[in-house]
Amino acid sequence: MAIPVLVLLIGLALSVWVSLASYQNQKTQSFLKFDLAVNEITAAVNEEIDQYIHALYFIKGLFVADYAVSQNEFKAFIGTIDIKKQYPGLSAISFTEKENGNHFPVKYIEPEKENEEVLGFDFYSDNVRRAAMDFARDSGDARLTSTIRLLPDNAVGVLIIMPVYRIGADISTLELKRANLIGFVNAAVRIEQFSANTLKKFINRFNELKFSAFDATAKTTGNVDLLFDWSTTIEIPAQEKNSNLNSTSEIAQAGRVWKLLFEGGSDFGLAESEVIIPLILFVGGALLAMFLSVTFYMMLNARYKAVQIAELQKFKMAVDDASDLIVITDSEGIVVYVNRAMETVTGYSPKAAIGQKAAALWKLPMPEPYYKKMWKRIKTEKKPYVGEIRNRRKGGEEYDAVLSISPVLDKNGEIIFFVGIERDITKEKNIDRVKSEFVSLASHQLRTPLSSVNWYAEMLLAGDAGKINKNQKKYLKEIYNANKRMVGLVGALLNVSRLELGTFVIEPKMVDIREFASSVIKELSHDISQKKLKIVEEYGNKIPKIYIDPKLMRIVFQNLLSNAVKYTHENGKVTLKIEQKTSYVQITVADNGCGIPESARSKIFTKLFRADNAKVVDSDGTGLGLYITKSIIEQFGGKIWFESAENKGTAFYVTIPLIGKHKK
Amino acid sequence: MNTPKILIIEDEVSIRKALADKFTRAGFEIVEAKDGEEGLNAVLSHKYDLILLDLVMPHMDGSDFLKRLRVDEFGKDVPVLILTNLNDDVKARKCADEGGKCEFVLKSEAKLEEVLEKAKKMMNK
Repeated sequence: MAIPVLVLLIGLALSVWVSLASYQNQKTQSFLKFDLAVNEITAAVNEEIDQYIHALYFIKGLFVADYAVSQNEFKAFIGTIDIKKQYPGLSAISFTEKENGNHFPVKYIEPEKENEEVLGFDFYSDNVRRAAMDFARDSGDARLTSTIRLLPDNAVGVLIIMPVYRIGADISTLELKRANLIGFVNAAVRIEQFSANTLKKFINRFNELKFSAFDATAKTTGNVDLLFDWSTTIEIPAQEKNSNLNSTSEIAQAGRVWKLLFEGGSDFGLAESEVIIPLILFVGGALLAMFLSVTFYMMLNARYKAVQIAELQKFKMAVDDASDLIVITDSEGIVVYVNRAMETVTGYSPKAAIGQKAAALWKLPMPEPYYKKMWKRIKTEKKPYVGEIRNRRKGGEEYDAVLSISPVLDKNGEIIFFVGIERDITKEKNIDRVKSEFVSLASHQLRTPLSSVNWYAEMLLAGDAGKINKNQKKYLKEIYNANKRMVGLVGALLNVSRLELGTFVIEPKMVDIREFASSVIKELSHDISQKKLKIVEEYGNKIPKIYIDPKLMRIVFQNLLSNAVKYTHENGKVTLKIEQKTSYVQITVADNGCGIPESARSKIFTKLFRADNAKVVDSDGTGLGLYITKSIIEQFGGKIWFESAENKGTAFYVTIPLIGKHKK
Repeated sequence: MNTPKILIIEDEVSIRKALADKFTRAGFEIVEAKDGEEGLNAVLSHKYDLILLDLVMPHMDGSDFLKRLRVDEFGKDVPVLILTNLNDDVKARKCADEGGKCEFVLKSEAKLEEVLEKAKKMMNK
C-alpha cells in the first residue's frame, strides 16, 4: 500500500510548493506595488511644491517689471494663474512689502476675500516666518518655513517665501541683497487642503497605505514637526508591523527637507480575493491529493484482492482437480478438506468425507504397528511420513497406495493440520504382480526340463548306459555344468520374483549362523582347493542363536562367500568373521581379490548389474546375487555395505538384529 | 527277502523314466503312475515300500493324493519322498515334517544319485 501514501505525500508537497510560490509571487507583487506607491506619492508631493515655487517665480516677475504694483494689478495677475484650479494645494498668495525698521506687513493677498484679516500683518514679527525670510533674502531663493499656524484660522501649514529685490539692482553679495530687498511674495500651503487636493487621487489606488511627512530639516533626533499625517486606512496594529512594508523617502525643497514615511500591509495592493489564493491552492491541492490517494488505494486494493482471490481460486482448482487424492485433516485427524479424487479413489464424496475421522473412512486394514509408527512420525516427531499402504474403499475393497502425510505447523511448532497425498497404485501393483508371477511360472516350467537334462547327463556320466569314452565324458560334463548354471539362474530369478511379490515363505527358526557359514564353505571346498585359497574363519565365542529363516540366511552366505571365492586370485585369502555387537550380529566377508571399480560401486546392489572386471572373471554371473542378498538382509531388518579397493580386495559387512524380524 | 516295491507318481515322462531306470538298475521293483489318480489306484491294490511323488500334476495333484493316501489302510504308513520343483511349497514342507514318513527333494537341484540314496535311507527305517 505504498503507492497511495506516495501519491498523498507528493500531492501535499506539490500543494505546499504551489501555494508557497503563489504566496511569494504575491509578496513580490505587493512589494513592487508598495514601492510604486512610495515613488509616485513622493514624486507627486515634490512636484506640487515645485509648481508652487515656480508660481512664486512667476509672480515675482510682476514686481520686477513694474516697481509700483497696485492691488488691482496684483489681483489681476494672480487671477491669470487661477490658483484654485492650477494649484489646488495652495490656499493663498501674498505680497509683504518692506517698511522702515524691518517690518514686512502683508500688502496684498489673494484670494483677498477669505484673507482680509491678514492684510497688514507683519510677517517679520513671527520668529518662524522671520527665519525663513532672512534665509530667503540672503540666498535669493525661495524658502520653506517649518510648520506654522496660518492666518487667519490657525490652520497647520507652511509658507514658501520668495525674496523680491529692487529692479536692476546688483545682488551679487549678501550686503547688496539686503540693501536692495523690497519685499517677499509668499505662498501659503494648508496641509489639510494640500493633502485633500493633491493626494486624494491616491486613496482609490492604494488601500491600506499609511503615510506621514515630517519636517526633518537639520534634525536627526528629537521631536520633529509633523507636517501631515495621512493614511488610506485605519491604523495598523503595532504587533503586525513586522510583517508590514515600510519605506521612507525625502524631499528637499526650498532649503528644507521633508521626510516621508510609508507603511503598508503585508498584502498591500492585493485584492481581498487575491489574498486567499495561496490558501485556496493549498487546500485544493491537499484535497486533490487526498482524493487521488484514496482513489489509488481503492483501485489497488480492489485489484490486489481480485488477484488474491484469483490466485486462491487457481490453487483451489488445481488441488480440487488433482489426480492424486489430497486430504487435509485437523490435528486430531478429522477431515476438513478432500479433493474430487476422493470419490474416484475411495467412493466417498467430498461432502460425505468432510467432518469424518480419517481412520473411520479408510477402516485401517493395515496391522496396528504400521499406524503406530506413522502417528509417531507425524505427530510426535512432526516429520512427513512417506510409505506404501493398503487402504480400503467405501465398498470394502482394498487398494494399494503410495501415501505421504505432512504435518503443517504454526509459528510455535504446533500442528495445525495434516496434509495427506495418496496415489492409488493398485493398477501398477497388479502389473508388477503379474510380471513377477509370469517370471515365477516360467521359471517353474523351466525347472522340469532342466531336471531331465540334469539327471540323464548324470546317468550317462555315471556309465549307467554303458561305458563312455574320454571325449564323450568331456562333452557331457560341459552339458551337465551348463545345465547346473541354468538351474542356478532360474533359482535366482525365482528368488527375485518371490522377494518382489512378497511370496517368499519365511519360516524363522532359532539358528546358529556359524553352522551355515561352515556348511557353505564346505560346499565351496572344491573351488577353494582348486584355487588354493586360504580361508580364515573367525567366529566369536558367544554368538547367540538368531530367530531367522535358515533358507534365506543360507542364500546370503552362498552369495557373499561364492563371490569372494570367485573374485579372488589363486593363492588368495578369504576371511569370514562373525562377531556379536550390542544388539546385532555382524558378519564380515573379506577377500584380497580384484575389488569393485569406483564406477561400479553405486550400482553394485542393483538388479542385473555386473561390474566390468567381474564379467571378465566370470562371464556367467547373473547380476542378481547381491540384489537378492540386500533384499533379504533388509527383510531381516539388517544392513549391508562394503569397502573395496580395486585389485586389493573387497570386504562386505552385514548386520542382523538379534531380535529377528518375522513375517508370514 | 522280497524286492522292495516303489511307486513313482510323475506326469513328466522323461523324469519318470529317468527315475524308473535309476531305481530299476538299483534293484527295485517299479510301478509307474502318470498322475495322482493312477497312483491312488495303484496304492489301493498293492502295498509299496516307498512312493516317489511329484506335486504338480493334472487330475489329482500330489497334495490331494497324499491326503487320500493317509486315510487308506495300506497307504497310511508308506514313506513318501516328494520330488518337486516348488521349493517354497508350504504343503511339501509340512509333509516333510511328518516325522520321517515323508521327505522332500528339489528335483532341479538334486542329483539322481542323491534321490536314490535318500530313498534307500527312508526304506531302511
